[in-house]
Formats: sequence, structure tokens, C-alpha cells
Amino acid sequence: MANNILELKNISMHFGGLKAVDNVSFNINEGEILSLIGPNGAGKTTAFNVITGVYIPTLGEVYFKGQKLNDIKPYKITEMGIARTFQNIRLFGQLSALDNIIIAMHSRRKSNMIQSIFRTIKYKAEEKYCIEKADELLNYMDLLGDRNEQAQNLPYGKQRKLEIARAMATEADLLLLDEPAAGMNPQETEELMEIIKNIRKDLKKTIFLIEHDMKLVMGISDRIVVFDYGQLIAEGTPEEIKKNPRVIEAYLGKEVTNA
Amino acid sequence: MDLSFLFNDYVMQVTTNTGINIIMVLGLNLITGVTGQLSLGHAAFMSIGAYSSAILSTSLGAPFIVSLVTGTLTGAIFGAILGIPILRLRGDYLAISTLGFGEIIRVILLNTDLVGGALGIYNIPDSTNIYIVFIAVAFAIFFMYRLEKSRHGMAIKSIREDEIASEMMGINIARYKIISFTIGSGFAALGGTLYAHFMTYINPVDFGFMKSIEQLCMLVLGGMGSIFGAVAGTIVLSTIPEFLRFASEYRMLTYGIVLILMMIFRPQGLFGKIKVNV
Amino acid sequence: MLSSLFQQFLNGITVGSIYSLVALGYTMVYGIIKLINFAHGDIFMVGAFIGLIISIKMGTNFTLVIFIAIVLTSFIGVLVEKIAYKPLRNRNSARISALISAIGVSIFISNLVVLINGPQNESYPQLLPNNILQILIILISIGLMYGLYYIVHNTKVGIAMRAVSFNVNTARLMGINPDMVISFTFAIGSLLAGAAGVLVGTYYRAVDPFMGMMFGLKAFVAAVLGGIGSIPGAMVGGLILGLTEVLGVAFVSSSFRDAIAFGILIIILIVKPTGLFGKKTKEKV
Repeated sequence: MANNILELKNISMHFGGLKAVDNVSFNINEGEILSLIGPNGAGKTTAFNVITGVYIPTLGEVYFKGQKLNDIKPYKITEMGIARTFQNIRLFGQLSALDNIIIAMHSRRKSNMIQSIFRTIKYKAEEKYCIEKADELLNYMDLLGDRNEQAQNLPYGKQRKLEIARAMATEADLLLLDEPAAGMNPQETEELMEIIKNIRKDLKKTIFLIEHDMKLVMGISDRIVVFDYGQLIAEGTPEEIKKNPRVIEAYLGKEVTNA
Repeated sequence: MDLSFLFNDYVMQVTTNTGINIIMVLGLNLITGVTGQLSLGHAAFMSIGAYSSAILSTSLGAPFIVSLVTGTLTGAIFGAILGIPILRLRGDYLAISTLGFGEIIRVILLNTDLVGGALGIYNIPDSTNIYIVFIAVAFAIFFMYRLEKSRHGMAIKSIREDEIASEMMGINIARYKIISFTIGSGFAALGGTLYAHFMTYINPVDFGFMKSIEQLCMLVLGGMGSIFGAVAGTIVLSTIPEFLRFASEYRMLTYGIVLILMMIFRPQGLFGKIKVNV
Repeated sequence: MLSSLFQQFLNGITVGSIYSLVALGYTMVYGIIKLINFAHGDIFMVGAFIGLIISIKMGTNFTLVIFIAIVLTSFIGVLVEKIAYKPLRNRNSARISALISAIGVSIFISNLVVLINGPQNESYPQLLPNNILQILIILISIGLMYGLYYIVHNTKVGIAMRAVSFNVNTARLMGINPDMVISFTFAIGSLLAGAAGVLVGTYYRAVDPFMGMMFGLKAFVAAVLGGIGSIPGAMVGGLILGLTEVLGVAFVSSSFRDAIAFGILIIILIVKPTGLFGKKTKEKV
């Protein structure tokens, strides 16, 4: 039995009368690739926002490595080991690709203000280490050539990859990727699938992703959870999900004729 | 080494004044240009520094260095205290509350007899000289440059770029906004202490809303988010009026036109590269 | 005591109704293009000066004075928008740029008046009968506000204004020309400010080129208090501010008059940043 790294227990997120997420429970196992799918407006990004502390759930609890997350500030949650990307890319646009990565290492660094101003030996060592590590990450994502480019000037596909690299730079154990393949062409998507698989294999990360590209989802997921109208309607392996009548109904609509 | 032969009194005065402005505008650049938090009340912190140091120097006869350090720290502490409640606000709301606090501080100074009320404080020792200002400017530039390059400065910049992403990357944005506001206010107060001991006479009128706007204009003209821009913009706006003295009645008029034209044709400032979205 | 309280109350409503008129301009412009129009206070000041000049040149006929003042200020308001704000909007500039441009306009206008008329205070002629001055000011303000309310809710252009403030792009798709609506908004807002300028001159019997700064800032506070972007909010906010200020001066201390408005501002921003009638907006993640 695999250890679960994240656990959602009866999570509900209401906005006024709208139940964006409605009494949802599921686990993410350590080291797996779990996908969250569902039609638009099913509450997928809301689930990400609840996990990362952007929203405090109306009801229910979130546990990360056994620790309750409900009242913890987003930046602390990141320190604890969850990092994410965004559906509508949110890079630090006017900063270089390298700086984007270095900023994400913030919570792992220790130099204080005085050391930084006077550039003590300790500070210099930390700085050097960070730049080396950032370059390593950029290289891993095949972005080393764009290291000094402003993030906003990178082509779309590279921006998506830089966002993943930035999330990895926080040294999180759990990566939440919100539609990483959105706007990518088939080749780029293919490449992205390889990257995600490698991140899991080489770096032992757990990956939880939202995606509409079914080829990607079916190709890399160990398990899939399906949302519809804020509710969890199915959970299982890609093979099980493909055959699940409720999932088919959610995506294609109910059949009109009765058998 | 005596450099004073290079300067006649007038040039020296303009240079000293420009140097003092640079220190304050660098403080404003940290808050507005680097952190992206628009402040319309920077002069209030200048007044805190000026008044607290002037009181120390006149009533208590403290040595200049003591007044200087205490004045600066008092400004920084005020920055922290006022920053905690208002930095939760965003954009326009933040800008307006800094304006509000600036006006409140001015009105309080105006109505406190202990600090001279509308008359202000006289006979402050003229301890500020061009060498001290040079050292202070050099320190300010050095400090800002090193801060910006450090992980703390990076964290602050990321807040300007995208607050939500910044927090999601593990940065305590509330804390860094307050740190930035505290340091920026401290530099305003440092400028204020130097100003008080340069003019030898201060009163609340010196620190009104227009003063804050003047500092903002220097920054915007030079280029927000750029140390070089902040320095250059301050030099331009502090010295050009001196060249335009023969046309002093058109001075403020020109000021207004320059601001409008700059925003239309070069909103990032003369030397800036950054677009600050507030 | 009671009659003095009544008198203070009347003073408060009088000042408050003028604050409301100016606050409406701030709130309408903010509602439609999200700009704190710093020059609005100066339009108000220009209105007062136009009134002054007209009454010197053409006699103290109040109706004529206020009519010419509002026609000219609404024209100036539109001109300011076309010259200083529209080019920025077209370039999709950062909002701080528009704000600084507005500050530039404000500096320009007040110093232009200084250049033309000098920096001194000018005494204002008596345009309305003294015994019912306050009542008349209140009634005129109410009349103007009713007119505005009618336009916004019952006319085609009013509906277009609301549509643009809700969503510019959708409004454009519906065949509304946003530039025209924005110009109209500036015209109406400046008209109200011009009227307020004449009323303030008539009430205090004195004007100066820098009166727009503080009065404008306070009217802006009134708009924030009511909830920026909300028209009823600006009306109520102006009245609350006027009353608080007058009662504060009468019964607490006169020297902290200007601090009262900003004190209210800070408190409202910290406790309820959206003001009394404002709507909450949250950034989507």
C-alpha cells in the first residue's frame, strides 16, 4: 500500500449559493501521477486553490503528510512542500528566466538582510549554490539558452515549462500543474509528457495535474479523478475511467433514448 | 582633501539639496518602483525624520550623528507602524490611504505646540554639509543596489510582478511589503533629518501633499524600478528649475505639462525599463 | 443649544451636498475607467473662477453665472480627457501613468489660474439671498443630483454608461462607442464640479487657485466612503463627510478639521475598503 501524501476529506467550497466544490474526498499517493479531469466549471481549479491555501474550504479538511492545512497561509504551504503552476501563466514577466527560478528558492535560503547587504562569505556561497542549481533546473527543462531572457518574452510553450521549473525550484514534493499543456502544439505536448514522467522518475516528485488533453491524461496518469458540477463522480485507472458511464455522460451528455 | 573650492555657495546649495532629494527618492523607488506599492505620502516620513531630529538637536542639544540616526530610525518605525494596517490594501486604495496618513501627520504637526505648530522649528544647527550628503547618497545607492540583488530584494520584486504567484512561491508577501515600506520610509526620514539640518528651519508646509507628488514625479521621470533612473530623474528635476529661474512663474506650469507628455510618450521614464502596474 | 445644533446640522448638510456634487464626478469617472481623476478638484476650482469672472463682467445673475460656468467646465472636462487620458488609454498604459498624468493636469490647471489671475484669494460676490442661502444651495444640489440620477437610469446614454462601467468590451460588442460614453461621463462630472465651484464661492464668499486640491481630496474621500463607483454612495458619502466635519469642528476642535476627513478615510479603508455601497471584487486565480 502506497503512502498517501495528500488527503482531501469531505471538502466543500461554496461561494454564496454556488457550490464550486461539493463534499469531495480523495487521496494522492506518494510518487504517483494523478490527473483531475472534468468539464469546464467543474471546480478543478477551485480544488487547487483550496489545497494551496488561496481559499479556505467552507467545510472539510485537507491533510498534507498528515498535517492539516486548513488555516495555514499559502506561503507556508509552499514551504511545507506543495508548489503549483497556473492555468493562465503567472510568471514574473519582467524578470529573467533565471530570476524566476531563484525567487522560488527563497524559502530554502537563509541569508539575512545584513549578510546580503555586506555580501559575507556565507551569502556569496549561498548565492553561488542557488545560481548553479537554477541553471541545472533550466538545463533540465531545456531552457538554459533563455536564462537571461525576460519571462514575458518567451514563447508560450517555454513559459509553461519555466513555470514548472519554477514550481520545482521550491523543492516541493507535490507539484500541482494546472493545464500544463494548454495552448501547446502536439509536439510540445508530447515533449511535456516526457518531462512530467521524468520529473517523477528522476526527482521522485508526486504530480497532481488538471488537464483537458485526453491523450496526455491517459498516457501518463496512474490514476484519474473526475469532477462534474463540483462533485467527484469517478476515480480510477485510465482504463476504468474510459469505460465509466458517468464520465461518458458528463462529457457527452445524457442519452436521450431510454433502453 | 578640501573640495569646497570647486563650489561656490549657490552651486553647493543646489547640489546638497539634490543629494538629499536623491536619498528620499531612492526610498520611494523601493516602495513604488521595486515593490509596486504606490505611495502618495512619502513626504510624511520625511517630516517625521526632520521633526524628530530637529527636536533632538535643538531642545536636547544632541550631537548631529545622534539626531541623524534617531531621526532615521523614528521614520522607519513610523513606516512599519503605519504600514501594517494599510499594506493589506491594494492599488488605488493603498495610494489614497498613504495620502490620508500624510495629510493627518501634517495636520497633527500643524496643531502640536510642542513642535512649534504652524511656525515650525527654528535655529536648527546647520550640521548638514555637502560631504555628509555625499556619504549618505553613496550609502543609499550601495544599500539599494545590494538589497535588490539579494534574495530579499528578489522577493520584493516578485511582489510587484505578481502578488499571487509570489505568495505561491513561498514568499511572505505581507512581511516583505512591510519591510520595503519600513526601509523606504527610513530613507525618507534620513533625507528629512539632513533637510532639517540644512535649512535650519522647518515647518509643516514643507511636507505637504505637493512634496510627496514632487518626489513621485522625480521617480517617474527617471524611471520607476531603476536606481539609476531614480538618481537621474531627481537630478533633472532638482536642477532644471534652477536654470529656469528667469521664468519662475512658468515653472509649475511646465512641470505639469512635462508630467502629462512623459506619461503619453515615455511612461517608463527616461531611463526605466519596467512597467509598474498599480 | 438646540437651535445651535440645528444650525450646525444645516451647515453640515450644506457643505455635505456640495461634497456630494464633486464626489459624483470622482465616482463616475472611477466607475468607468478606474482612474482617480486628480484634476477633478481643479475643474471645481475653475468653475468657481469662471463664476467669479462672469459675475464681474456680466452681473450677479445667479442663473446666468452658474449656467455659463457649467457649460464651460464640462467642455474643459472633456478637453482634459481627450488630451491627457485618452492617448494613455489607447496605448493600454499602466494605471499609475494615468494617475500621474492626472496629477500633471491638476498642477497645470491650478498654475494656469495663478498665471492669469495671480495666487491671491478673491472675494466672491453675493449671488443668492443671504437668508435662504443654505436652503437654496441644498435644493440646487438635490436638483442636480436628481437630474444625474434620471440621466443614468432613464436615458439611452445613461444605460450605455452603466454598460461601459460593467464591461467595456461587451459594451463595445453591443454597439456602444466607449469613447463617446467616457467623454459624456467627463462632461457630466465636470458640470457638477463646476456647479459645486460656484456654490462654494457663493457660500464661503472667497475663492483661490489652490482651493481645488483640499476640497477635491475630501470629495474623493466622500466617494470612497460611499463606495467608489457607486452614485448613491457618493451622495450619501458627501453628506456624511460634511456632517462629521462640521459637527467635529463645532463640538470637538476646529484645528483638526482636515484631519477628520482623512481619519474617516483610513478607518473606512481598513474596516470596509469597498465603502458603504461598493461591490467587492476579487482577483481570479
